[in-house]
Order: sequence, then structure tokens, then C-alpha cells
Amino acid sequence: MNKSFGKKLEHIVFLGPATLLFAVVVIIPFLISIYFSLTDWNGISKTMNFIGFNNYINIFSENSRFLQAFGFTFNISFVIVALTNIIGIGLAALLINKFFGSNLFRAIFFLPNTMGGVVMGYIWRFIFLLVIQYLGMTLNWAIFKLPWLGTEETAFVALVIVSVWQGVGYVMVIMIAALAGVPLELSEAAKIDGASSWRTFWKIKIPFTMPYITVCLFWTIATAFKMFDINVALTKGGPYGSTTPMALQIYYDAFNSNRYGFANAESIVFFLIIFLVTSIQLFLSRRKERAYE
Amino acid sequence: MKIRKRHVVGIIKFVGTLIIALIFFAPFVLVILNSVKPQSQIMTDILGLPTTMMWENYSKAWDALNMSTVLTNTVIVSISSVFLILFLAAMVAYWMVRHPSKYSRVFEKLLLGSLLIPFASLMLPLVKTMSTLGLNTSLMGGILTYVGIGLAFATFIMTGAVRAVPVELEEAAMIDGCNVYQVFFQIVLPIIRPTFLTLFILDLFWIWNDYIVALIMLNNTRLNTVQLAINKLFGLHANQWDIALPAIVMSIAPILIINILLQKKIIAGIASGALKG
Repeated sequence: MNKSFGKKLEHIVFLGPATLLFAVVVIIPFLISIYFSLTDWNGISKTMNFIGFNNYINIFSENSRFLQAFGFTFNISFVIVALTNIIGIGLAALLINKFFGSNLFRAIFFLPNTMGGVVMGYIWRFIFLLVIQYLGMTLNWAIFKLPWLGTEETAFVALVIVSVWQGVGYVMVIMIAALAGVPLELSEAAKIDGASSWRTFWKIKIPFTMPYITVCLFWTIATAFKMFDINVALTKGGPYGSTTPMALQIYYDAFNSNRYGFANAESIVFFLIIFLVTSIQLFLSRRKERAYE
Repeated sequence: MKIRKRHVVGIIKFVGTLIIALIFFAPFVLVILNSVKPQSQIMTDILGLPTTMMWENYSKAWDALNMSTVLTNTVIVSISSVFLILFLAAMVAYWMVRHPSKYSRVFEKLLLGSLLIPFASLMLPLVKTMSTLGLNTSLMGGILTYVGIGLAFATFIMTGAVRAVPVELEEAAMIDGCNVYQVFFQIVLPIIRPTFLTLFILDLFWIWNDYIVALIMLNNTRLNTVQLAINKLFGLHANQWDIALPAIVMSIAPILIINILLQKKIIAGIASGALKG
């Protein structure tokens, strides 16, 4: 009797607090969100009506801002993920062997990754608004004379630059660890067989590091799709809402437009999109890993 | 001949990397350099050295940010959240690995699945939940949110660490009459200490840098964190770069210092964290 009580108590002590917190912060809000997404509540008033799937239907209606935000997020994520991984792997290949200053270089490339999106965004706001403009005036180069944060296309590129700048360090660190794990005999054997180092890199090293590339892809995709604070700092989602990512659109709809129920529907769709995209990526990457085995 | 070729390749590689690194680092240098210039010089001579050292930029920025309050808030929130995350995650991981039950398996699946839920999908109802509990007007609301969200990843990493603890050690301690609490505190915790350090740094950086959770849970002059204060400052003093730039430098200074002190540990920690994923 006493012993079984002690056993139960142990369960409660070890898992209870974590369960409680997890329920309050993740499970309950998630369930409530599904409920609110079926209402027209504005977030403040005492009345709300149950309107079924109308919010969801509106999300996919023609001039939906959320669809626009999805389009923007999808496009920019594609560019960011591709560039971050390519440049990150390139830096890893460059820095895998020790040479004078290589540790310092690693630290420099990794540094932006340890800093927050808001501050990074403002640092680059300073660069784009003042430094680039100054260079434009003194050097008279066309590329520096563009209104970098003022047009749709250049704001898009600006966000790509900042995101890639922030993300490559992560990919580099993981890929250095991954490349260091490639058995020396493998690449040596390929060299003896007459393969160029370029070929060895692509045919031997990359397949061997596929599980790590999976991690890098997963992380860069998830980060890009969830983008929020860099946009807040750098472009405020503008010009004309053209650089508003999904997460920011949800925030605007809930707190600026008081469309609380609708924003909850958006947040559920947002979750499903991230879930779908990352699941597809994991599935494809794992299949590739297996193909290489 | 061959040695010379290798030398040339090495020099090209070094110079190339150096140029990329300089471009990478330039934004930090420019921000720090201009943070001590008078506004008039920032606007006309952005690349030059400061004509006069305007240290008072920093005291102006300190006041504009309300830094003493904001810094205290950020330190309290990040340190207590990180310690709670580490402690709870270690407990959960230990129990899941050594004393699995039907419940713990379900909980593990839920935690893992929650890694895919973006915060933006939780933030709206979370405000309502926290205000129902009366936690939305204190730092506690922010702390609990960070812990609830950070738990999943930390548990995931800790599980790997606990699995690596030799089970014989725990069994021997049990035979010697230790109860599970003693085994956890005296055997398991000391062995998984390296994982603690890794997670400590990762979570500290996350919370220090986080904007979105703070925006939702701590958006109140009294509770502001550094990131919120920076964002507000840019709203109020958008073109006063002699205040904005030193504010940026102050907000990244702690991260810069930790980076310099623990550079190798951080990089090793990130790598090992990812590999376990």
C-alpha cells in the first residue's frame, strides 16, 4: 500500500510539473485555438457566434491577405533555404582544414547566428538606409543608389541577405562536424582512384553527410517559414504589405484588425503548412539518405 | 614545385576567406564605429573614424531604453527560464528512459510533435489562457511560456544524455539503498553535466534574443525585455542614430562577450545538439 503510493508519487514528481506546464502553454492553447477558429469573435466583446468553417473558407478566398503572405513566405523561404545551405556548405568545405585564422573565421561566420532577429534587422536597416546610401553618393554605383527598403523587389532581396547572413553560420558549424566525420580512407581511396577533389566532395563526402544535410534543411526551412522579427525590424512587412510573412499577418489580424477568430483559423492553417512542408522534406531527405546507404 | 603550388592555393584560400569574413563582420564594425560619433558625423561621414568620442550617446541610449529595468527583466526571465527548462527536462528525460510507462511514451510523442508547432499558432489563445490564470501581468507569464515551449527540445537532447549514463551505476546505487531521487540527483545529474552546459547556452541565446514570445507575454513598459525595448526605441527615435546605434551595441554586448569567452564550447554544442536530432 505504502510502496505503491511512493511509486505513484515518484511518477508525479518527475513528470507532473512538466506535464502541467506543457498542457498550459502548448496543448490547451492549441485546442482553444481550434475552437476560436470556428467563431467570429473579435477578441474583446462579450458575444461571439459559431460560424463553422467560414473563417477557413475566407482564408482561401480570392483576395486573402493570408494567401498573399503565404506566397511571399513560400518564395522567400525557397531562396533563403537554397542560398543558406549552399553558402553554408561552401564555408564548411573552406574551413574544414585548419589554417592560419580558421578558428577566428568560423567564429565570425557563426556570430550573426547567435543574435536576435530584431537587432539584426535594425543593424541592417542602418546599413541599407545610411551606409548603402552613403556609398551610392560617393561611389556613384547604380546598385548602391537603389531604394533598398522602398520597393517590393529590393525589400525582398534585403530580407534574403539578412536571413542568409544570419543562417549560414549554423549550416557551416554542422557541416564542418559532418565533414570531419567522413572516414579518411574513403576520400583517400577515391583520390588514389584518380578522382578530383571536386568529385570526391560531391560523390563521397556529400552522400556520407546526408543525415546532417537533412538536419540543416529541416532547420533552415522551419526558420524561414516562421520568419517574423527580421521583417518587423527591417521592412515592417512593407512596402504595401509585400513582405509580410504568415506569422506577422496572423499577428496583424488578431491585434490590429481585431479579427481574433479569423486569425486563429490562420494560425491553424499556418501550423498545417509548416507540418506539411517539414514532413515532406523529412520524407524526401530520409529517402535520399537510404538511397545513399 | 608541388609545394609551391600548395602554398599559392593556401594563400588564395586565406585571402578569399578573409574577404568574405570582412564583409560578414562589417555591419558590426560599422555599427560600433558609428555608435560613438555625433549624429551630424553619422549622417555625413559614415566610414570615417569618430571626430569626437561621444560617450554620452551611450548614457542617452541607456535612458531611452530604460535599460536598468529592461536589463533586470531580461536577466530574470532568461536565467530562471533556462534553469527551469534544464531541470524539468532532465527529470522528464530520466523518467522516460529509466522508468518508461504508457503515459511517459504518450508524453514523449506529444513533446516531439510539439516541436513542429510554430509559436505563432499558439500565441493568440496563450494570451487568453495566461490572463485566465492571472499570469499575463508579471514576468512569471513569460517565464512559464518559455519553459513550456523550450521543454520539448531540451528533453529530446537530455534523453540522449541519460541513455548514455551506465545503468550499472544506477543499479549499484539502488542496491546500496538509494531511492530514485538520490539516484537522479547524485548519479544522473552529475554525469549529464556537459549536456547541461550545451543546453544552457542554446536556451540562453534563444530567450535573450527572442522577440515574439516577449511581444505576446511581456509587452508592458514594466515588463519589457531588451528586444522589445530596442523595437520601441526604433519606433520613437527612428532617425536618431546617435541613440539607436549605441542601444544596438548595448543589446548585443552580452552575447558578444559570451561568444568570445565560450566560442569553442558554443560551436561544439551546436554541432552535437544538431547531431542528436
